[in-house]
Amino acid sequence: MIGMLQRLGASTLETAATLGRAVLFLLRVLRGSGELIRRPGLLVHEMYSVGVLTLVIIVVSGLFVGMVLALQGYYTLVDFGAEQSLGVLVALSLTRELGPVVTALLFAGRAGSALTAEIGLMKATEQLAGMEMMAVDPEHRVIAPRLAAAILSLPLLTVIFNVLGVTGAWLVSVNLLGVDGGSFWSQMQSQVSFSDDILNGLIKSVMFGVVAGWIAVFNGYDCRPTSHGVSRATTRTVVVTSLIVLGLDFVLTALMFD
Amino acid sequence: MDNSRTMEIAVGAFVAAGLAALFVLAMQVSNITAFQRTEGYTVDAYFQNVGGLRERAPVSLSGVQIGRVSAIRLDPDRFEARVELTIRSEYDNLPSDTAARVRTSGLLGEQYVSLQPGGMPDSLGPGDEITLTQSALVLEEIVGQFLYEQSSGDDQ
Amino acid sequence: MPWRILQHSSRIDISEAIRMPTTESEALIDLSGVVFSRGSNRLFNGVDLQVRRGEVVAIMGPSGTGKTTLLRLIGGQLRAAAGRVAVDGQAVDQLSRRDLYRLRRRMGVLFQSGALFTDMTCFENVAFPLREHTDLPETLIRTVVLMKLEAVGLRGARDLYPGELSGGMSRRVSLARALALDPEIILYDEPFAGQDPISMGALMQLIRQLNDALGLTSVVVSHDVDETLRIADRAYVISGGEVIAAGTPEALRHSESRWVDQFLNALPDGPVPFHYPAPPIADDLCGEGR
Repeated sequence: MIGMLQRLGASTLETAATLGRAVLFLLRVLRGSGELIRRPGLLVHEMYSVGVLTLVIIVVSGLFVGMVLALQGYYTLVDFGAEQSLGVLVALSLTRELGPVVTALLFAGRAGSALTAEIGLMKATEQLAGMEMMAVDPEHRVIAPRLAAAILSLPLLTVIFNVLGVTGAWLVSVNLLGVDGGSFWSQMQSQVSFSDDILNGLIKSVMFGVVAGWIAVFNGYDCRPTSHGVSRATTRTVVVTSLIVLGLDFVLTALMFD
Repeated sequence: MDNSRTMEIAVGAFVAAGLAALFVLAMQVSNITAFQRTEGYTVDAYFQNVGGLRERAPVSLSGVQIGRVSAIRLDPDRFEARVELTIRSEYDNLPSDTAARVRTSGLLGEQYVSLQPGGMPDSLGPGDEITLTQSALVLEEIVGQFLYEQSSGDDQ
Repeated sequence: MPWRILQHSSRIDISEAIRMPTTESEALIDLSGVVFSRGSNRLFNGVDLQVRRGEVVAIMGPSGTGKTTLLRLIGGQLRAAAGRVAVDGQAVDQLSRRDLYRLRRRMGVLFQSGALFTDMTCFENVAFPLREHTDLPETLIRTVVLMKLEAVGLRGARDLYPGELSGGMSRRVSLARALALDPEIILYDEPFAGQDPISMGALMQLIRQLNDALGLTSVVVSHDVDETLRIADRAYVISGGEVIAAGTPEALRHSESRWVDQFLNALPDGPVPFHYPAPPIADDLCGEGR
């Protein structure tokens, strides 16, 4: 009993310490990100590995998520003779929830884990220490561009995901199921609001970008510099990012769409 | 370096694709298409009650969409809803005694403005008012009226 | 390049001939009474150590005595719990971040693993400190990088990635990178560990010749006794958190200390026990231990 209490206390303290380190780390990194304005080349390099290389999975998933949504929605709506609302259904689900959340989850799996592993390995092979001894601050040179790339890439990926999702839904419902194309679009346009739905979704994805990027770079930077430590940090990045994204999504939804 | 050049091009294309996607979302998916309503002329219609009518709802004639609701606001003098209808310019020969009513598509569908052409020779022009209007059917009112008539019928 | 690398015949002669004159007063690196603990393990318990300008000083000791930690203390990556670590008169642990980084530009570090950036070619690795700290035009960077690579004999390997290099080669590239900003001090962390005799010889010669030709000050941390003592001007032997012997290689070889004798002559047992501290084996085996 006492042992359990002790373990609970120890893990609480451990979590609090990790959280504190993560916050301080984020502040230091943000302070160093001014350098990026002077050297945009660093950012471009990271945008490539974080954003462009994630594009394929986002394109494919976006298309299929949209197609499946349309198919499922059709079977339900057709019973009420409301299959014209398919466009609204798909567009609202995508722009408000599915787009930001699914993109963030895919991003954590594809780019977040890669970021953690890369930084962790750089730490394990003394590359970060080496950089520090060359009077180059790795938090500015290595971490800041990666974090900024994540924050910038995720919203871009989310919008691309949304557009492809709507396209997929259009392909299935209009070309396959015979829903009227005109009412598909006109109902969508009359029900989806740019400021309420699309912009709010975009704000969500920016927040998710901060969270996903932060967790990924921090786990890499904070990991134990062994092969086991790096692999654990990578797993933790994916798990923690997914959980926090889902929780944060609930909070944001409650705040935004009252 | 050649390598960094391709990288820069790829990132540029990525950012451009993202912005283009946002543009598509704005123009094709959401109602920001209101910006492109330049095509057409507007007429006003006053309703006692517009029900659940929303901006950008369709305006149709014989079931064919010929325009959109471009604005709904309250007229402070008449205490009526002033609904601004934008009619596509190709339909510029609607008779001036055309009637407008707020209807619902299907039982649960969205509300729209339906026009019934009259018989006057002169046609509606930009800024004209549609005088013959019929408000939205509000279910509670109909039920209330029905109950009232029932009870007054019992008295007799 | 005014000096020639890899002249096997004259390896020792050159280093003897060009040895820099040193004066007692010029302690470029000065550690006095340094105490450092990692967790409950006290690594240093009052270490005194001086490195004079132009010297090659070896720091030796068995594995696990914290020799790498000592280098990190000098580089300001770790802070001593007590005592003073000074480089060129500045107390490293009291410098502001800015001053510390300025000081670090005057130091080069050769890490045990080489610590090369694995996603860059050798050329880009050596160019890295130049690009970070200078605004030199590309042509000048190219010239400097090629000169540094030439100095370590790897100009031909400039387009290879670190993964394509042997251990000895990547350490030499790392050395070229450490030299890129023309530092005054170079810290070598186990430069000979796991090297074949040929690359060991090449590295030994490089350390000595670069030190003398460029007027550097070198600190070599190593447990390879013979190689290290052949190039060092002076050596410190550390064990149990303290300096137990110091002096010229010659003096150390004739040391009376049983400990130094054990270390220099690679005796398996002696003052440094073969066994990690443990209860008597009979207790352990009979289940008394726990």
